[in-house]
Amino acid sequence: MTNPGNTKWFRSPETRGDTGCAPEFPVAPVPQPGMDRRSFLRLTGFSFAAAGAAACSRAVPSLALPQVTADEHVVPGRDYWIASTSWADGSGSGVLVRCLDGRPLKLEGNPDHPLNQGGLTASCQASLLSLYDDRRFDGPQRAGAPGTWDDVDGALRAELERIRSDGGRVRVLTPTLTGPSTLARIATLLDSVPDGRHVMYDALSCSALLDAQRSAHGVRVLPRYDLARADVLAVFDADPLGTWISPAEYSAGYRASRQPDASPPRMSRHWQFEARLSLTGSRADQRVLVAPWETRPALTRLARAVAERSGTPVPGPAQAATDVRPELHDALDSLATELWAHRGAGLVLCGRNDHHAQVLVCWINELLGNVGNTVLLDTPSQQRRGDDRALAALRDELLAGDVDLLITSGNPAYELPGLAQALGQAGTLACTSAQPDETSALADLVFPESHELERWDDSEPHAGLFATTQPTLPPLRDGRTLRASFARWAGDARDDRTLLRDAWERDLAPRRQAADEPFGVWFDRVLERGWVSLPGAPSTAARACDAAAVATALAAPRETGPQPAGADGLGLVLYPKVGLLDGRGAHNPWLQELPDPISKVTWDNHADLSPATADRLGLRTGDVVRVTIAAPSDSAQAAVPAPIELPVLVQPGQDDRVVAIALGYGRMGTDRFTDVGPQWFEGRPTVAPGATVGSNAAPFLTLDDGVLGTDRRVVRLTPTGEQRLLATTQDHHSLAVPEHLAPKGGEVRDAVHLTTLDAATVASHAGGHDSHAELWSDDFDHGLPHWGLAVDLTACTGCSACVVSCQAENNVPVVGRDEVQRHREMSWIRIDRYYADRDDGGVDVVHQPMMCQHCGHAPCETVCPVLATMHSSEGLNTQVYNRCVGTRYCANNCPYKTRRFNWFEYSREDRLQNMALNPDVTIRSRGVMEKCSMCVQRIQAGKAEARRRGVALADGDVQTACQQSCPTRAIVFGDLHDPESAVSKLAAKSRAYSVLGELNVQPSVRYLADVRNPATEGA
Amino acid sequence: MSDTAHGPSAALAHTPHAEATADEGSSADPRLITAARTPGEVTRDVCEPLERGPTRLWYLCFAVSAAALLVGAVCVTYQVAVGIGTWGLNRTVGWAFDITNFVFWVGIGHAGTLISAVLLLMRQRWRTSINRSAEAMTLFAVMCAGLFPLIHMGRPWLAYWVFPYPNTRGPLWVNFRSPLLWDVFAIGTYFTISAVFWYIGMLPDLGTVRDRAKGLRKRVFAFLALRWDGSARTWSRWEMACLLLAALATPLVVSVHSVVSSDFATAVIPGWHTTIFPPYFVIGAVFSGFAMVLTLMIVARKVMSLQGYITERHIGAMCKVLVFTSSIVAMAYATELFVAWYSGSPYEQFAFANRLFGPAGWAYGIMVACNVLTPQLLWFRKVRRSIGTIFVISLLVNVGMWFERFVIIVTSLGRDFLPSSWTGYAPTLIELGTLLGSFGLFFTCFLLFCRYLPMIAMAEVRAVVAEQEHHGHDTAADADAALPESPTPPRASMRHCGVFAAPEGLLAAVRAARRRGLHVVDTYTPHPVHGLDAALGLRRSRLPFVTLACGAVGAALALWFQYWSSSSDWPLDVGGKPLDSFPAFVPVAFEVMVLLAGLGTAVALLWRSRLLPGGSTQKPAPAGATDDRFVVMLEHADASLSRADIEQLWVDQGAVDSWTEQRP
Amino acid sequence: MSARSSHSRVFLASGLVLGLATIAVSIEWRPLNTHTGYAPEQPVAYSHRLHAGELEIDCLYCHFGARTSPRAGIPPTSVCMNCHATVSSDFGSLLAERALAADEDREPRRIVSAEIRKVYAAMGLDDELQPTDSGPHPIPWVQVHDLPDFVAFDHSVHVSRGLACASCHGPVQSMERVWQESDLSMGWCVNCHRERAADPRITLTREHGKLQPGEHVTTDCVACHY
Repeated sequence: MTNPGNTKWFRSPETRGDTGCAPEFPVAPVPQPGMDRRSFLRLTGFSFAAAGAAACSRAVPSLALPQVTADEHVVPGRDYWIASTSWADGSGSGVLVRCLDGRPLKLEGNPDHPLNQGGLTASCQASLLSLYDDRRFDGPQRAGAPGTWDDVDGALRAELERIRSDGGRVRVLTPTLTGPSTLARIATLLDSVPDGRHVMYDALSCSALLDAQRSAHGVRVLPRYDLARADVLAVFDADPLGTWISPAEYSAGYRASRQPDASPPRMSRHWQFEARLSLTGSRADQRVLVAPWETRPALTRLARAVAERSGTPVPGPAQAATDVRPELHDALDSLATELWAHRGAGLVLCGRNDHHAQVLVCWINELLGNVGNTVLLDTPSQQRRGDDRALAALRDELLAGDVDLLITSGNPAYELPGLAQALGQAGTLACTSAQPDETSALADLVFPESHELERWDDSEPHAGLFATTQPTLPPLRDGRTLRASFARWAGDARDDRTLLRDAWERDLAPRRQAADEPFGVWFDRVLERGWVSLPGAPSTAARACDAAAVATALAAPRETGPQPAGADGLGLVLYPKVGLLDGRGAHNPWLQELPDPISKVTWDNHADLSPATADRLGLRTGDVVRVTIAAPSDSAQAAVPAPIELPVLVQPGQDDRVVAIALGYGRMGTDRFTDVGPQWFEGRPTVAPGATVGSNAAPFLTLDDGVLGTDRRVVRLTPTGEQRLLATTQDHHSLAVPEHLAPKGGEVRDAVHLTTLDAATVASHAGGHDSHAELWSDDFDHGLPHWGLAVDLTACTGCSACVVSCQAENNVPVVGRDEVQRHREMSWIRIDRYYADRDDGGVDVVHQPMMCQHCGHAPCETVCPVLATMHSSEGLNTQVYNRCVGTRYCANNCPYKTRRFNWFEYSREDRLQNMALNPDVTIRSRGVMEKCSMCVQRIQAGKAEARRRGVALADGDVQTACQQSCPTRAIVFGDLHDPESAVSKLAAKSRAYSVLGELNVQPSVRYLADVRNPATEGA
Repeated sequence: MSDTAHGPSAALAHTPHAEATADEGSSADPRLITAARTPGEVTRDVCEPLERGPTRLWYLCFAVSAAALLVGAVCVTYQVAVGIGTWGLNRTVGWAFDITNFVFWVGIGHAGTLISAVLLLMRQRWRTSINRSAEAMTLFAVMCAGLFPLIHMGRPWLAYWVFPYPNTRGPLWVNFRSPLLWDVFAIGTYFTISAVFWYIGMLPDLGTVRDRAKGLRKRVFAFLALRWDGSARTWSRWEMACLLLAALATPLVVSVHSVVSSDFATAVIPGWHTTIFPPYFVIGAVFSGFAMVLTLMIVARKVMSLQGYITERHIGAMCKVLVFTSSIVAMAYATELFVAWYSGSPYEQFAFANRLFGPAGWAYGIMVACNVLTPQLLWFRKVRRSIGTIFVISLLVNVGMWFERFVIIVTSLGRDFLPSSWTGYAPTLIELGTLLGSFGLFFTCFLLFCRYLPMIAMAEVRAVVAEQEHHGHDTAADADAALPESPTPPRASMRHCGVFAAPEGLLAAVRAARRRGLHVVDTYTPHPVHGLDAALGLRRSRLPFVTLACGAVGAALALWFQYWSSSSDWPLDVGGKPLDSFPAFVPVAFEVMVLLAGLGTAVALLWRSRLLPGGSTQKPAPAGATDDRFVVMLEHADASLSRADIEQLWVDQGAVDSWTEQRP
Repeated sequence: MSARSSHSRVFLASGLVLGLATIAVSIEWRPLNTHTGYAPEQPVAYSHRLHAGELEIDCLYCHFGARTSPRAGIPPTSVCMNCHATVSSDFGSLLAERALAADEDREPRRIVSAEIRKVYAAMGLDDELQPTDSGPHPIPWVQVHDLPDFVAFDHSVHVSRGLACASCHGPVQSMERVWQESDLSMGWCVNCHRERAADPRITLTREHGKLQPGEHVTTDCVACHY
């Protein structure tokens, strides 16, 4: 496997689609449910398949089934890459899918893709596993029972015919869709009925932002934000690096704006205003606690302060000075000053679904001259197109019983408040759920949607950027795309690829500039690349901010928080977690077991409380509380949602006035995870039979006044007296040791180096206590490469993309909730999160990716009695699984605690999911130690490839999985012996240090200090 | 075949067994052994409980122990079948109960070796009553200890990979730099040498049991006793072998716990990484071992009615050892804290602050209370006389020492360098069951030992009894060197045997016979008789040369093999350490040296004394010679001497019996 | 006396025998999955002696994967058809049929041998190479060489370094039915690597600080185990 950035290696089945001689996929029967990996491989005809447990004995001969017809493009055992697009996190990131022997094994960010530039979020990476999900529907369903396509298509077409003749309303409710071919098909169908409308929604809604753009600038678009050009970044209630709109894209831009090593150093100032500690907030230079109901007043204050500085007259009546708290007032003034000083290079973002607040943000960005620089409206994003107003209208229509046919995509019954009830009122409900879920449970007809990795599709993440999605294997389940379904209902029975190809030939091909190329050749090239930029997008040239809208926003009534009188009344903040997002990842065990970057909790959601509030309420982490909406909702339509019970998590850095709860949990069918993890008599199931993982907080969302709201004014917490142990991978909240145990003078361990830009540039920051004292001469100078990593803590956002990437690459098993509770998670790379108390009462958060440090003088190696771990001639600390007898001495003696032991037989041979296993990496059996190998299989493959091609292995040819996926390029791999390699150059920086360098174990992983850019006195 | 003529028979007067159940207050008796005055009494007191059926108390104890063993067996089976995850370990605390129990049991074993070997070298005669059971305790404790490193492996079925045997992997040898590998050799050697020492020491007593037994039991013991005959030459070599084995076992016992402590001391983990550990662990082992011996002795003397053999003096002596070692242990604790503070290393300082005041501070409290505070009561004579109090203290010391290991292992591992990985630890039922099972194994073995083997070293106790009954200097011994040589008569066809009731008579008869120029073929005695070698004119045994040679070969072989396999046959980069890591090769070299020396000595003893097992039905020892009779065997070629003259010689010297037999 | 010493001798001799036996067993210890000489019957009686020996077809013609892939691979049945679309039987039978046809004064019939018929059947073809109803299916070859799953072996790396196939697979050109020549034990792999690593002609070159490909024979564990 070489650098996937090398475009030579891109290929697509389409490239030989026109030859007409080979079938699309040679000799590849559809794997059946419950089929194991080997059986699948045998069927695809590419592999040596062993019948039975024949590894040790020839009692049962192993069979080697060859292909029948040679496929000149696929060499058995040799991997190939297919360019595609992933919408698993709602961002439409470009991916390269690594395939081997006819099945996809790994998703990697497409380095050439303009959006994500090679990074890929955890949820996109994990979508691979959803492909191999045995709960997916295999064929359509009718009234809860399996049906045939002809049957369900007939039923739907009959219904359409009835509506065409009798009249009636047809509604299509989907999450954001951008694919021109699909949208055209939907539009065609809806045009053919008397009253048809397509409503798009986003569970993580940006509707108010879009609406505000329409109010202010006249076009309902989502601007693109160029964080790379922002010198001052002010984020209100949004998590752009974690979950908001396009995290991989924003992270890359954010990283570009923070380059302490550049000359001169470039470091943006990042202000974060939020109530809960988000991933983005954890990286902020200046973090200010703002309750949700304070956001609009704060933005009003900021808008006025900026307007003052710009000399713009402020429309509308003057504002009372007491609208915001004094400390907030001061912070906003400082921010306004900074923004003004960097006008044109600042950026204000707001994630709150509040129309007035968003109008103010538009105005502020315009006043500062950011529009056109950091706020790009000419090629707007299409990643969020949901319209809450239309959604609310549809809900009302549904409740009124006015919808005759509703076709849904996504899972609105779960994701949206009150929709489950409304969907039940539709005349006919057809849904396209890929697997049984809350919506399919209500549906009359289910047309299961095929997985992204097994379908042809297109999309348009932002105007003019067209991305393609290609199948990477023959469909595992009998599903269909939305486009194919709508075409079928319109009487067009052509296959999906043809539909797509024709749509492109008709709609998009005319827009390309060099039209002399035959369409087929051009289309193949687009597929091979995965995306294409086409000019001629309809101009969305925005007009200047509408003064009336601004005036309305400035004059909007204040929202109020919980009354101080109600001592236990708290504001509620609902938020998505990096893994599960709005719940779409809930059936993915990789994501369920991915520790939340901040709380480090797996397999659960929880009620987050600040330490002070927890103290006040007498609650501790693990106490189960009942969360109740205290006051009746403002809207009479929405019934008061039922209370839910959740364990408390005490979360530093959170506003004392709110409780924060993650969305996406409590999904139907997550009791499937009951038997995840080892079964033994003291083992507790990951989830009780019949229960769900976590509790569903989506009913607490509000859909009032045409806005999907993620916060509530007053909730009450009632302790139930029960305890629920949260499965966290990191117990301790502080880098400092507990106070009563600290030696005199206080001890702060310098495992992470947190410094300021000034300190980093002024002082030649010494990297810890790295000494190079040698007790003995080096017997082992091989003159070979010395592989090493450099991890830039300034760049690391803690987004955990690397964790899932490593899990996918290295077959890291999922162990289940109980094992995580027992501190036996298996991830080879973990992200240590440390809090450090700030003088102003806040907390600093540092994320430190921690993997095997591949020490030159490895303490683990000396103690292994059987030589199962030792050094390779290329500086790797290697673990030989088949030699390991499992004394665990090495793990004990590892100062970094990066070794992982197989306490049980975690692997299972009988799961469809095992097809996601990487055959290049041994499946570890029970009783052996494992750990980060620095992706040695990639190193070996890289060397082998260089050998085959007779060229030198260049720096960057081999990338580790964590490095490849990192949206901020925080991890760099290479040869430390080569002074010209990127990793050597990083390791030579003054910011570089070794963790626990004073032990002189000579780690091959070097860290670069986390540089922040806090306000300097008098600046 | 044998022409046996019985001389005057003098029934051995049985002294009334007044002190057999000597009450614990009668410490006025200056004698070490209060229960017996003759060798026969010792035989009877020790053997009779074995020959009678077991008591109800024994059955009760055995049932309880076997039940515990069964629980342990079930737990271990479950763990091996399902996975080591059935223990409460985690990614940070990789060892807890397993290695705690391992170190605990190794420590328990140490007192046995110490009592039998060190006290033998120091000529502490009070050891004789307890050394046998102390050695047995060592063996069983080491068995329990050895169990844990085996089952704590993730893949115990591959445990044989820790041995450097030729294989088809290259061959791939083992890592001689790993303290765990040193453990393999140390524990292996320790078990082997302890077993050899125990067995060799038990040979005379097995002979006694054999000679009293009938039927199947006789055949079994005849096999076990290896043709033990109690001849003067055998005794001479046996005593030398015991001395040599003791001399080997003494440094061995120190090395074993030093090696065990290296598991921790060579690691980088704060709280482990310290040079004080070897002596600290050795003394802790002695401390806990003596406590366990006390516990066992107090129970055993009660259950087996051996108060006259394990007297208050024995218990008092052990109490003094206990309070002495407790003080050293206390000093070790203090030193450890001081060094942590003085080191200036924040990690080290934290490790100890955490030990004292962290989440497992209660365990540290138990450890100090049991190991340091409670034993101080033993400074008071009153306490030392209260068997019940001593029993409780000895139990507490065992508890405390278990917690010492727990504290060292778990608190150090749980919170080491990076706070992100700090965890706690709690045992599962499986671990508790396994710990229980190890006690079950130990006590089951010990009870079986009590039931089937002589738990008191009869031969040695006989010698002590003989010594304490015999007052006054053996004046005749001074002239032994002047006795004439009497070469083996070539044509003698008859052997004349005289039987005596006491060693003095035997010595006198030997001297008298030699003065007359008669050839003393051999003597057969129930215990080694002081001065007999000189009286017989025997040469000093040459066993030490065998020991030296075997030891030298062992050390050289081990050093060469370690060097060759690590640096020449397949040089591998292990932690950047040099290929010729000679300091790391020392422990294994030492253990192999001791192993070969010990085995060589034992084999040489058996070989030279013709004790090797064989199928001969010939009676190895004259009747009573392994019980209470002292037999002299003469030959002569002097035709002028009649059988009556010989009879007269016997009568003159006070023989109780005599006979003449054909020379074989 | 003599009885005793004879017992001792028996004792010693048995100890000696036991010790030697232990050593012998451990030296001869073979993991269970080395099956030198394993030569299973194959579904098609394909002769390597004929194809690789007499006809001198290059190994890589059929096992083309060895050039570029970790796996040499069993050739797809279509590779057989490159020749056997025309060669349907042995020469002798063809001559006989031609002679017979000449005698009977008719067109020679197409002669298809039993083994080649199996190949056609696998391709889903009948004797006249017309598609049949049964369709194509893979030939269930029996695997001869099998490495444990924890061993990563890359054919292409070895082949591209010029290692002859016969170094590991033995004289395949003389095998009627393929057997396993080498024991494929770790020691067997390692010893080859050791010998080559010690070869002074194979040295590492570093040009411009870059590792030059194909110049290093490693004995790192991680070369095969990861």
